[in-house]
Amino acid sequence: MIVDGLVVAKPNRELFESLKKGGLTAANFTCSIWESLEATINNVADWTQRFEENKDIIVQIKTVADIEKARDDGKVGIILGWQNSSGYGDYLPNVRLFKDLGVGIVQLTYNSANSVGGGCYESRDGGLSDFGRALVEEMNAAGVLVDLSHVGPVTSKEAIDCSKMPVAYTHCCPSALFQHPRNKSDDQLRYISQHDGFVGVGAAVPHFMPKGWDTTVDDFVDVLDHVRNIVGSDQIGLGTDLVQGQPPEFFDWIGRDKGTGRSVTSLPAFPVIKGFEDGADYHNIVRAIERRYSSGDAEKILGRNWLAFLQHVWRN
Amino acid sequence: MIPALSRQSLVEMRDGGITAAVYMSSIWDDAGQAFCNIANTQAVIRENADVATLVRSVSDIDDASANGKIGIVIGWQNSDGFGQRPQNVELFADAGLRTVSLTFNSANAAGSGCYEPNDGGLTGLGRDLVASCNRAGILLDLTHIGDRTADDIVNASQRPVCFTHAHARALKDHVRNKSDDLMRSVARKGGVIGLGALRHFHRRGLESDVTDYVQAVQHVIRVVGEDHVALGSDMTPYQPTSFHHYTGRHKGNGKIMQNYSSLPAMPGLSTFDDHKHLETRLREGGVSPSACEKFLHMNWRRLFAESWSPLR
Repeated sequence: MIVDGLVVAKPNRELFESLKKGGLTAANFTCSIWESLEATINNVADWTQRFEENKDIIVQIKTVADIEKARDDGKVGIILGWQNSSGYGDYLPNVRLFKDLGVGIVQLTYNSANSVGGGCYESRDGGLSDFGRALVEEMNAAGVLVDLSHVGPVTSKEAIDCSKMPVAYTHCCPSALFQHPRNKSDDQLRYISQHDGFVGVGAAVPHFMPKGWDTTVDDFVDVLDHVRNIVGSDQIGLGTDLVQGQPPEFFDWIGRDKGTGRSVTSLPAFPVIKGFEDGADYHNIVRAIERRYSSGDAEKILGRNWLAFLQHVWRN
Repeated sequence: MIPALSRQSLVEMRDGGITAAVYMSSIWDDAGQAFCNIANTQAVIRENADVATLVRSVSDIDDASANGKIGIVIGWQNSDGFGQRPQNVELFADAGLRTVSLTFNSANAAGSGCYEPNDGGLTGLGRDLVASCNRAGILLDLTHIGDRTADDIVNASQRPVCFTHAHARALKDHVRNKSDDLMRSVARKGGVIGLGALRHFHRRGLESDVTDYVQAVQHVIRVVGEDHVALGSDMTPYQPTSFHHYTGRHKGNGKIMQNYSSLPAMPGLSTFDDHKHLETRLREGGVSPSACEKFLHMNWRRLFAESWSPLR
């Protein structure tokens, strides 16, 4: 079983076939970043169509039981997730309705500040707003996982403190190995794990790793191992950040504030590491992890931990 | 019906003996606002779960009946909430939407409303929305639609359609009212004519009361038979005056299409409590016990059961 805490690839038949070939069981699949409420509705609706059109190889995941069924049926499970909470349109009752529609993982803010709090590239992170606190409370009540990967350090700490349910960095790398605003310090990793939180480790992100574009899948396991030494073997998993099939303009869009504003971060198009070039290569990550850890730990890191964690947060 | 949704109105609906009601959560809203309104409707229902329950299927209506709760069916009086994207229909069906009118009083990209002087009929987008609603299990409502567009929808729809709250043109000549022929074609399709209780559209205009309503029931039963006539009061308790301006104006704020008085509902059928006495009124007016039963719940239950299953 392979569960991936973040995939932001271009959703199409070619991708789904590749993920199936790679043996992916389920992934948190980004369907909103800078989109408004209305544009997010459209994106979720497009997924509804996609699930129908590709039902021979993919299936929507709303519960942990759905993930287990996807594994048994040999299908790729898709958890709809957002990398920004703007899709809620600052309207709290929408949290439950989107949860009903399958949106089970939502990041509070993406890179910059919004009404909820500060992003990791914001020059001054003002912390979690009162609206942000109400949003976290609503997400807790609705069973939506709070994701802090691109959230600023102050806002992240305050979200961890105020959340009644454990939260996650679904996709990140440690800054102890490579200093970067997007990476998390050992203290941050320790703090979230001490609060029963979860860390998904990025794999398709050479620009956040010490060996850069020379990174191999084994180097990725070194990065993962650093995180594991801090958070332990039970609260860690994959969060690859796979961007397969996205066009160049996508990277410009995600790097600009609100999609079209000033450049917040310059991202390389088509980031890959050696051995994990696309969705069909999950097997290589599996092998690299199995080389390093006992079979029990490998199973947990590859998927079991995510399942237990989602079961706890989703409560279904 | 469109009461201002609150604990008070939900309690009164339940105490009025209403088992389930179609609540119109959107009229002029775009997709984002229409989504928020569904979310809010469900939040109010959740906060009052001891009194009310959301209806997604007819078994939810049966449960509401067994548990003494008011079941709320979510409907729209306009299809603008789909954002002109037929591919959004299934999402809103998943979100709980169960009845839709393609347009409200005026023209939109799907077709023409009943106050539109020149009804151009169902558009290409309108046809796509009909097909998507058929597939997703959303019942099409022709109440506020123009005659020609309505006729086109009856012909285009693969499933029965309805009027959730219409009135008989044979009794009162008004653009908002429906001809016997159109009601017949809806009935022939297996649909239901829900009879509204707004004074303006009944025989004696603003003088109309529940006796005119019962006469209208008798008339429509004569035209389409007792299997196709049902209650659709169109009551709007606790709505402020601004709500009637909003519904009466083109797109909510444009020219006045229908000037509603502050209380459009008729004496004898304007409060939830009046619902308790409706069966007696119908019987007094000569409606048979079996027709009463069909009118008050069986016909809607049958049509909802036939309409709400998605076709996949």
